[in-house]
Amino acid sequence: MKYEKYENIIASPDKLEFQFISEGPKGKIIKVIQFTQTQNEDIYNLAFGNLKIDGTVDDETTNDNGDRNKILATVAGAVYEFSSQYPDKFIFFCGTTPQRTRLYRMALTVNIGALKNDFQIYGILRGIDTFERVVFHKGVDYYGFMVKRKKV
Amino acid sequence: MKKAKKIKGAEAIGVKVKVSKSMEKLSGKVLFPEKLEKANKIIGKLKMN
Repeated sequence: MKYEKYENIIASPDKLEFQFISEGPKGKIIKVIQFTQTQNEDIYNLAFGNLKIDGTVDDETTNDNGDRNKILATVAGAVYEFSSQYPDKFIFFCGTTPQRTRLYRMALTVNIGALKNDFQIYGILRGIDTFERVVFHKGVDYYGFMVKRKKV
Repeated sequence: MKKAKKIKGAEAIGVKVKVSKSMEKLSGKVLFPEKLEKANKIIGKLKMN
C-alpha cells in the first residue's frame, strides 16, 4: 500500500469492529469500522464513519482533517485483519454517493498491484433490475466492490 | 511435510492491531443500518460470475 496509515488501531475480540483516531486541523476524530454479515452469510458489508460522543455514528460527514488517503489505507489494514480471521468470507463495500464509490475505485486502482497478491477483487455492475459481480478491471464505472482473501 | 502458511493480518501492510474488550460495547449492534440495507438490496439481486 502506497499511503501513510494510522499505525495503531483497536479491534473487538471477534475482529468485526475496529477503531482509530484521525488527527489533523479539526482535532481528533474517532473513526469506527464495522464488518456486518449480510443476508448472504458468506458476504460481509464493510462500513466506516465517525463515532460520536453519544455512541452513535455519523457516516455522512466529510472528514475535514485532510487525511482521506491515510484513512482509506488504515481501513485497508482492517480489511487485512478481518480477512485473516474470516478468509472464506467476501467483503462488500460501496460509497454512499457515486463520488465516494469513485474514490474507492481510485484507491483500488492505485494499489491493485499489491492487493491482487492477497485478494480476489471484483466490481459490481448495475443492470436494469439486477447486479452482476465481475472481475475488477481499471477504468470501469462500478456500483460497488467485493474482495476475498486468496488462499495461501 | 509442507508447513501451512499463516494468513497475515493488518501487520502485512504496517498496521498494528490491539484487541480490546472495550470494543465489545459495539458488538451486536448494527452501526450503519442504512448501509447494510443498501448492501442487502444489492446482494439480493446479485449474479456472481
